[in-house]
Amino acid sequence: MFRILIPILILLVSANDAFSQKYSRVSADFSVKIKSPSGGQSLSQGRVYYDRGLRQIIYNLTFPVPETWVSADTVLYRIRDGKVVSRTFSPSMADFSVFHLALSSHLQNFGLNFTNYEPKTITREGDQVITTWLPPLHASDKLGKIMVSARNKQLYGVIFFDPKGIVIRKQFFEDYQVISGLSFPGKIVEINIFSGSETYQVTTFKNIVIDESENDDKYYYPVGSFR
Amino acid sequence: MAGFLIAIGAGTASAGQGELFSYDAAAIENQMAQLDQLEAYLLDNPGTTLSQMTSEGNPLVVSVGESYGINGLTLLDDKTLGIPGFIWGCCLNWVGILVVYLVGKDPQQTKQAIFGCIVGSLLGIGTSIAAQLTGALSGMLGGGTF
Repeated sequence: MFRILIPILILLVSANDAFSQKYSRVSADFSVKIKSPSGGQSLSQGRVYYDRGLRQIIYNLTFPVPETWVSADTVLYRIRDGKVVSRTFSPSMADFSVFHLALSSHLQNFGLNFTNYEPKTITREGDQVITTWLPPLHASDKLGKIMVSARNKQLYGVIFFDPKGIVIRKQFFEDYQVISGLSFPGKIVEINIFSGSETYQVTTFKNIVIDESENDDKYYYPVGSFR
Repeated sequence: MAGFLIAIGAGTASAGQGELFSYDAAAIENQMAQLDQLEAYLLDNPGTTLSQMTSEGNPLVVSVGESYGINGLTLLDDKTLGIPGFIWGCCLNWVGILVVYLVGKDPQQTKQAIFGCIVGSLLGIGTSIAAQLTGALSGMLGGGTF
């Protein structure tokens, strides 16, 4: 029975995706508060810009210091007064950022459908639809399962497990705002659990603007001159 | 899609799965109390930087600083690959989270895996970075070849 249902469900989801509206730009005031188990804490504030076509995530920080952080390709640039203070190689993850996933209407499954993870079970519990994703068999000794919860067709929670089945991280997407028809989380709560200690991170987005037609220069930083 | 098996339907959930998706909001709010105060101050005083507050002896920063120290850019003690925590969590999403976790577990191997992944992406291998990362992590960490 499932062999017949699954292709139909996939077709329906794909069709829904094909007809859903695609958005290209998002910008928002952001605030990130972190409290570590050792007592260390931090606050970062500013405005973030993302254009799905340009694939640069640009953070214009105002606190603690005025700086610009640009994630472009495989480099993370830290820029102050127009000069590169540092550049760090990092995986190019624009496609898997909350910004890209929201704009492309793929936030609900956290982008996991684009990975080697595979959905194992889908269950309903109360108002939650919970999908359990498993890593590929050959990686199951290094990577654990990931559980994703959706409420009202919106991503609500993500739980990461280690290979032994112990929870190592929880993320919650809350306070959704609908702007120009796009649903975007206003608050992301993250709990990182390591060796029994918990680190908390709370990210908030305010003054969210979707598909802004002005301020083109805010969405692209000419990092080519830094290479 | 080998092993692709989905169980669908109500009532088949493992008991208490939904309870996993909960957290103590009040406890986190309490943990963030000092940062909330700082955030409120910045709302009333836009454009203020940490160094300005420090040089002015702002009691908010001083009191927090004496106890813990605030550094928005280096932030966590376990900064990974020189990239601040907020970038990993907010910008790099779940892949970043896995990277942070794995770096914490086995720094050297995971760093090599990440850079292997980057090289792979530059060569145009694979269709997505995440798939490459997962493959790189599984292949490289499992096989131990770089």
